[in-house]
Amino acid sequence: MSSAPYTLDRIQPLLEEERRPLPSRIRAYSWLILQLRSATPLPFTCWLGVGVLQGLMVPFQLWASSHLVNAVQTRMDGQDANPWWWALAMASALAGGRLLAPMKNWSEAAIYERGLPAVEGRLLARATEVDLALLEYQAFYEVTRRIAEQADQSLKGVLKAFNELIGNSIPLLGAVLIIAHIDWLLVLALFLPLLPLLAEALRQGGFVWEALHQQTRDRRIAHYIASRFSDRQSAKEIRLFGLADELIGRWETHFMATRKEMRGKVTRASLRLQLGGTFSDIFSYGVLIWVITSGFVETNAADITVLMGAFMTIGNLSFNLQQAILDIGKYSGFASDVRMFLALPAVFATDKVTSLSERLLTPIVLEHVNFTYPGTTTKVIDDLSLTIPPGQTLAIVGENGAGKTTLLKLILGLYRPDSGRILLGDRDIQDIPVAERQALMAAVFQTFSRYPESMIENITMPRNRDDVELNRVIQEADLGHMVEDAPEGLKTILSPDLGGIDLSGGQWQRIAIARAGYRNATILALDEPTAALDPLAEVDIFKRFAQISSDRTTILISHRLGMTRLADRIVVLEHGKITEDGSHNELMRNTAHYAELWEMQSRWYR
Amino acid sequence: MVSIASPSNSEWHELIRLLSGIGRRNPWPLLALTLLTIVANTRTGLYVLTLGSITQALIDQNRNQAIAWAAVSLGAGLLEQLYWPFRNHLRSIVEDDAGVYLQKRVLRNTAKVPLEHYEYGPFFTTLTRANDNLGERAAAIISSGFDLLQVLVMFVSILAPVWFIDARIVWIILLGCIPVFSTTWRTARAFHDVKTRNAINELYATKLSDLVLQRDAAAEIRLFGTGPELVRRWLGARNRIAQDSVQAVGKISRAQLTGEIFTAASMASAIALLVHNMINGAAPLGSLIAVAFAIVWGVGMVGGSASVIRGVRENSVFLSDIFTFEREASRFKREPIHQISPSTAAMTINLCDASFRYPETDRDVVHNLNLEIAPGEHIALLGENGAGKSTLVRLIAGLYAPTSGKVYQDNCLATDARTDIAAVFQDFVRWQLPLRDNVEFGCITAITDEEAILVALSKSDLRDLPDQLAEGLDTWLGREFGERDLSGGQWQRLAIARAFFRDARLLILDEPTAALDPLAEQRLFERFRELADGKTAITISHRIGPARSADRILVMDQGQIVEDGTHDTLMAQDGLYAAMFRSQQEWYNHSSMERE
Repeated sequence: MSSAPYTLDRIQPLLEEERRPLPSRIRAYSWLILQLRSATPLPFTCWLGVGVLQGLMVPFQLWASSHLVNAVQTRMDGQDANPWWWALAMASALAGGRLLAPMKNWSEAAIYERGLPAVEGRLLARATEVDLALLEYQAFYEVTRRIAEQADQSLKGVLKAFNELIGNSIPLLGAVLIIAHIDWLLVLALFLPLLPLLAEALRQGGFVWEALHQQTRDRRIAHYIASRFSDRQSAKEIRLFGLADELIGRWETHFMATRKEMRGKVTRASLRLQLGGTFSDIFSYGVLIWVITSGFVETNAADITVLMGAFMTIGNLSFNLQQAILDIGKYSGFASDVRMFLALPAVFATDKVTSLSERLLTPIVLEHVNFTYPGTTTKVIDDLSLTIPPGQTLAIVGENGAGKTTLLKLILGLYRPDSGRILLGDRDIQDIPVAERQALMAAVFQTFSRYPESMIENITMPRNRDDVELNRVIQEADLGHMVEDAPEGLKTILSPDLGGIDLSGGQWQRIAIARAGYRNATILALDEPTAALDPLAEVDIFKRFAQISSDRTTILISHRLGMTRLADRIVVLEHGKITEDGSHNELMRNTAHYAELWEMQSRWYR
Repeated sequence: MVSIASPSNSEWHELIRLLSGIGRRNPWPLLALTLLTIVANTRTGLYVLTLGSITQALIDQNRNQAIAWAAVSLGAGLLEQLYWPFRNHLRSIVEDDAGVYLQKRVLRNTAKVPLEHYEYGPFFTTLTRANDNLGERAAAIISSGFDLLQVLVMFVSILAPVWFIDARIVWIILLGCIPVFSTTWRTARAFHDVKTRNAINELYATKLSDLVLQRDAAAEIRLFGTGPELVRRWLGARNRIAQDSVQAVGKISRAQLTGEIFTAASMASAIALLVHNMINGAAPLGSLIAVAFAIVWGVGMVGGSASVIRGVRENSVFLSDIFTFEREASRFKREPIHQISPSTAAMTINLCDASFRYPETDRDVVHNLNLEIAPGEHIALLGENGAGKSTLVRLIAGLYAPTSGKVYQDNCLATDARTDIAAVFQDFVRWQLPLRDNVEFGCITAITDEEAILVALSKSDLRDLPDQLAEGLDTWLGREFGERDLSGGQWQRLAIARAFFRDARLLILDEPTAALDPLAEQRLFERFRELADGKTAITISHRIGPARSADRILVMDQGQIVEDGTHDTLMAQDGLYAAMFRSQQEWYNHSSMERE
């Protein structure tokens, strides 16, 4: 059991952020920076290079200004000196920094536009590859959504913080060296008090991140409520039931929830940090004045210029550095989220799109299968055994919540049973490579996707276009009229806000049926495939059902007992167990649950 | 495509309106922040002054003077230290206020937009743009506004001492700043333009990423292996945007460079002037050193202020999205009148030559409908998908206004008085909120009546639900914020409970049993008859069987009512209804449908 890829232990660290130690978060941060670098190496190097150069301008200025003052004083003492060179040096330092700025902007834009999507793309890819049952675990799903939703902003924050780090630590180092040139003791006096402040800033950064997390849920709720107003479905009910004022009030409650509290906490913490800064200022000033006026160190006007300049600048630099470190602490949480997420096992990763070389129908065997959703205690499938001979059409009937869809997903290898086995032929389904499974099986799920793509791609994706197969499924799913009526035929985009058309629920359902049919799989699963169709359309599909289900093993879930009657065999599922099993006629003779359901539905048509 | 107006006088006017709106709601933080920003940022000037004096004192080896000026500087430093936490605190308050004000305003306006404009079209795009991420944007506007104020004050206070030493230096610096600022101002539009040009790409990318991240799509993506392809297309869209964006930035950067060269030249001249003053002993050395640093800081600020100005520009352009929306929305706002009157008799419905088409389309969805529904009648509405059934019920419910003709509830125009109607639509909402809300939304009043909620739940066979949930009626439902999701059937029954919660005189049910299993469906239809007794009811259902128990059956085809009668009369007519009935009947009989 513990080897199962989706046991909750594996994802526990991802869910419990507070336990993650600082060093590992910092490592994750640097890892993330490196990922951004490898995504856009040239812009990154450029950006970093310019940042370093701009940073070096500050100590260069200091140095130039001290020599300038020296030269001026020498001149004023009547001796020969040329301050203009130094003036030029100082001017170049200032100008250099400014002239490099456009380059920095350009390379930063390149990193944002190219580097960020590269990382986000990896997150998206991993989201399609993680174990399916894991996604049903609410906490994990929320983490996934949170990471994805924050990715753009947080990645920018990561870069900005790094930028500030470089941009402020390099001048700071430069200032250290220059002051050291005068006397090392002064370095200690000016810089030593900074260190505890920086450490405190790092610590506080993590705290800010946690604070943001606590707000996340309320923010998401607020965002959800606000978004209902521009959602067509909800807009209807808002107007019908007059919900506008109520919802606006709710929005405000959630938007403002915990904000005051958080604000207070953050301000108090930041005040502590700031007052610490004052003490360090007093200390440094004191040392500076004493050192200079007591003659402990030999200084002239030039040195004093440098010291005062450095002192003033250091104040600013260290403040920015504190902010940068705070932000690093803040975003290191995000960085470690990303790293952990990308380290999750990619259970459903495929790199190859394979087609079946030969169509071989094998029996499907379930042996004592048990299944419980991760994080829950109710058994959804309870010691279920079932053998489906090759080519059979099997219908699964049962009340909602009985486990029909779960059973389907187990058979399709999308869930792993907690115990027991599922075999295709003589191979355990989990041992079959994902690409092969994808070639063997196809399904129409209740929540099939509506891709914002052309009609043809909605049918064929991700496989290539094969006109023979395409025509076959157009005929099977009766799409001919739809194709004719569409403004650009098969090329029509099925999304109105992308300039295409909107399809009705029923029309989408046919597309989904065609999509599954196009795979020409040996195992086909249909979960309520006619729920959205009107009666005549539904009958039409039924008539083609024989076509759709021939030459493959078909598993059908439907409430329309008229349809399930067409199956070779029907099983009734109750609370995860099979209670009846046989053909329509056999089950009618049983006069049990199935017969009862049948009576109820057919009664209307007498 | 709605054109995006550039910030004009009206936008500044609206910006002021925004600020006064916030001010009226909670003026003190706003005032305090403004005052704080102005006063506290003069500290930069103070720094320059004290720097000069301390340096001079140290050069003169005058310890006492040095200490005195150091104390002053420390005072300024303390001001600095305290400024930031308070500034952040106040900003946060003001940003929240702005966010609340703006969002509420936009939501109120959105709620007044008639439903027919929610179909895709230019106005809907405007609506969604205006509603996009308002909370963060409001904060950004306030942020950039106060950043601008901050920078201005700092800039002025740094240059003030310099003015008193040598005014020419100040002029030179100011002249040097102009090119940078003007470039920044002009190019801020460019980013918004990129966004507008790439709106479709962005929308496409968002749709793809939403799809990938939704749980609903997860099973299909894994089974079909569409993951890599979807991600590839998403990257493609992002890269197309990137191309355009980076190109735009490239252009801007080149323009910026030209501006920076001028700035650099002016800085050089300022320094030259400074050195000249130094050599001629025009002022004490200490002061001149201070001026040197003032120049350095001033230059640094130029860089910072450029990005602030860009921020202000970008955000003001965003504000124009909101103003455009409000201008357009004011053209056709509709204020519904909500009165809950006690249920006495059932409702009468009248349609007189009613037609309807969506805004800016040229084809009627329903055409010249004439219909009278007597109080207490139970109607079954049938027809193919797209025949116009949903449109008809929306007209009756007053959610759509007929583009010609009239629709009455009793003697009132349907759009004026939506009083006693309850409806369950085919695409009913699964409110990702607590259970009690999902029911109570049927009839929002000030008082919560738990008994009534439970009664409504039992009407739709969900009486057990609160007991099965951890927090009973307060349990959050759904996948977004809740612990667990309900099944499709449970959601449907919940929507029905919501409709029954209001004691309405007209009931509209649109495909109320699509997600229910046969037993549940059966129970609902049985119950419905007793629950709708005495009320006017319209049911749309594909299940023709249940239509038999209606008082009257209406069949629609291509926007017209083509058949109107009882089951028996329509079967005798042998038209569309008869065909539909027989086709369903076949399944349950021993017929050609059977597989051998």
